[in-house]
Amino acid sequence: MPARFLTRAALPCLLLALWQALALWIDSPTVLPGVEAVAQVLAHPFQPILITGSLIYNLLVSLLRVICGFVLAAALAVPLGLLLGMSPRTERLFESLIELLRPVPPLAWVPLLLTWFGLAGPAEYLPLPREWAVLESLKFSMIAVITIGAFFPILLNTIQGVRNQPRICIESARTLGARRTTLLAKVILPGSLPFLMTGLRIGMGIGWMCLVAAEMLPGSSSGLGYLVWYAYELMHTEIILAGILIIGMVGLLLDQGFRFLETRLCPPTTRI
Amino acid sequence: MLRIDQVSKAYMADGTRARTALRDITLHAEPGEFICVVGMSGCGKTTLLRLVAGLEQPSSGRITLNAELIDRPHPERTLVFQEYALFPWRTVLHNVTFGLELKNVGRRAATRQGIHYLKLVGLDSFRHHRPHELSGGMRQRVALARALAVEPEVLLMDEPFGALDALTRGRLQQELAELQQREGRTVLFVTHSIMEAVFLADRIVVLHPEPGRIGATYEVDLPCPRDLKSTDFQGLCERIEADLSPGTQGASGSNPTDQGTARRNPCNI
Ligand SMILES: Nc1ncnc2c1ncn2[C@@H]1O[C@H](COP(=O)(O)OP(=O)(O)OP(=O)(O)O)[C@@H](O)[C@H]1O
Ligand SMILES: [Mg+2]
Repeated sequence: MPARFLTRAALPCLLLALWQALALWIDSPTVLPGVEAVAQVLAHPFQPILITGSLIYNLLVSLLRVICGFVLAAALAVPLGLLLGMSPRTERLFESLIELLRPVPPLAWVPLLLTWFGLAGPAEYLPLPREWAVLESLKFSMIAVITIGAFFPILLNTIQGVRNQPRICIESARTLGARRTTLLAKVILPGSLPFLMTGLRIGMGIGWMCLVAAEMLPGSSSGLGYLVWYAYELMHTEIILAGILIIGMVGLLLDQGFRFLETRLCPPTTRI
Repeated sequence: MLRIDQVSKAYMADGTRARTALRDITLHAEPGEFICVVGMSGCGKTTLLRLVAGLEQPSSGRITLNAELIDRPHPERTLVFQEYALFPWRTVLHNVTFGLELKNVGRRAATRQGIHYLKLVGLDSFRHHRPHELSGGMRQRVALARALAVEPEVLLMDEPFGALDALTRGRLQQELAELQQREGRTVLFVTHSIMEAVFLADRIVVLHPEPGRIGATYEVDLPCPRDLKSTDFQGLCERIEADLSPGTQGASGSNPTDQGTARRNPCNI
């Protein structure tokens, strides 16, 4: 374990050392701030940065957006994927539409989404106490971008999972008395769970990437992406780097979380 | 009573040309009768079982159980597949109780019944294992327990003991024979092994290939339990073996409809 940990940590440590050496050599904090300047930003996560709020606040905004968008995407894509996987005819019906929309980069939707939703968010429709100000930053347009980004990987993996069920498993369930709903709940769903989990994990990753990019576009006023962009406009390179580090770490943690769930819910031994 | 009347089954090969897998099969099974189907590979044994299970529809003819038309699967007819067909995400016990859950048998009763049938196939101590931890033969025994647990009226078995060693095979044959005497289910049992057929069956049906059709049938009226070494037993085995071997097959299978279909479908081999 320690040896493996060292192997994993070796390259990042080397990069840190190089970075620091380069920063000292260049000697211009705007081009490349020292490690300590970035560490300084990361060490005070609750301190308001510029006028955008603290690191934690922006992180929370981004996370809330990604969770809302992701849950929405899963709620739409999983049932649709099950339906399309089980019924080839319905799939033929949807196929061309899916293949047309899937290659569109999620960010290409942002102008349209802003046209439709403007800066509105769910908070405006809910009677919220003041302390919940974070929710005001949710914004429909941001949530929709994540939903679009996460939707297709979840959908395609769910379809794949249903397809991948051995015919014989389904047939033995049918001879034992499984009908449509019981077949779905007791055979198709558990059988395609490994694929479904992979789809959710990839969807979450793509959703996170889309979000941060979307937050950099006009119309955004909070979130990690916005923070990084704003820091660029004010030439605070140490905040840019700190933001990138946080974005990367959150992405990593989300991915690891899903991998953990994946191994807990469907260990390799239960797969077909 | 299970009645298969004049059933034919053609599969669509590459979407256009039909290929006859079974032709004019007529077979009636009395309640509690144990029928073995023997025949060469590819002669349509699996197809016959799938038709009775309701997983396939006959191209012509009809199959009824107690005068009701069979047109879909139902747990009154369970099938032990030739291949591995357990649910890998369920434990051995939960594989066996699957059908009972669907029947809304209470959890306790289902577990009790599941364990009963696991004991019967000698896998009680593996109840918390997962299928991948079992050998091929053990998996097949779990599949057998699973098919028995719903207490079907007709049990369909597709070479269930093919993967087993001689000892386990013998023990399971013994148990199946005893179970049959106790519970009296109708069994349609497919096997390659003539000895196995003679050991288990009340009646043996020989299926000839290309297209699959019934040749001779043999009533086995040897006393139970059967003695594999008796001359009657071995004599019957030899007769069936002679019937199955390719040389005699033309003679018993020479019925005029053969040529008729062969002309219509030159590719039906
Ligand atoms: N789904 C299918 N589509 C097309 N042809 C099929 C299909 N299933 C079976 N057949 C054909 O029907 C014939 C009978 O097949 P079947 O599986 O019933 O044979 P079998 O007697 O069970 O053979 P084995 O002893 O090897 O298991 C074969 O010629 C096979 O090619
Ligand atoms: Mg077969």
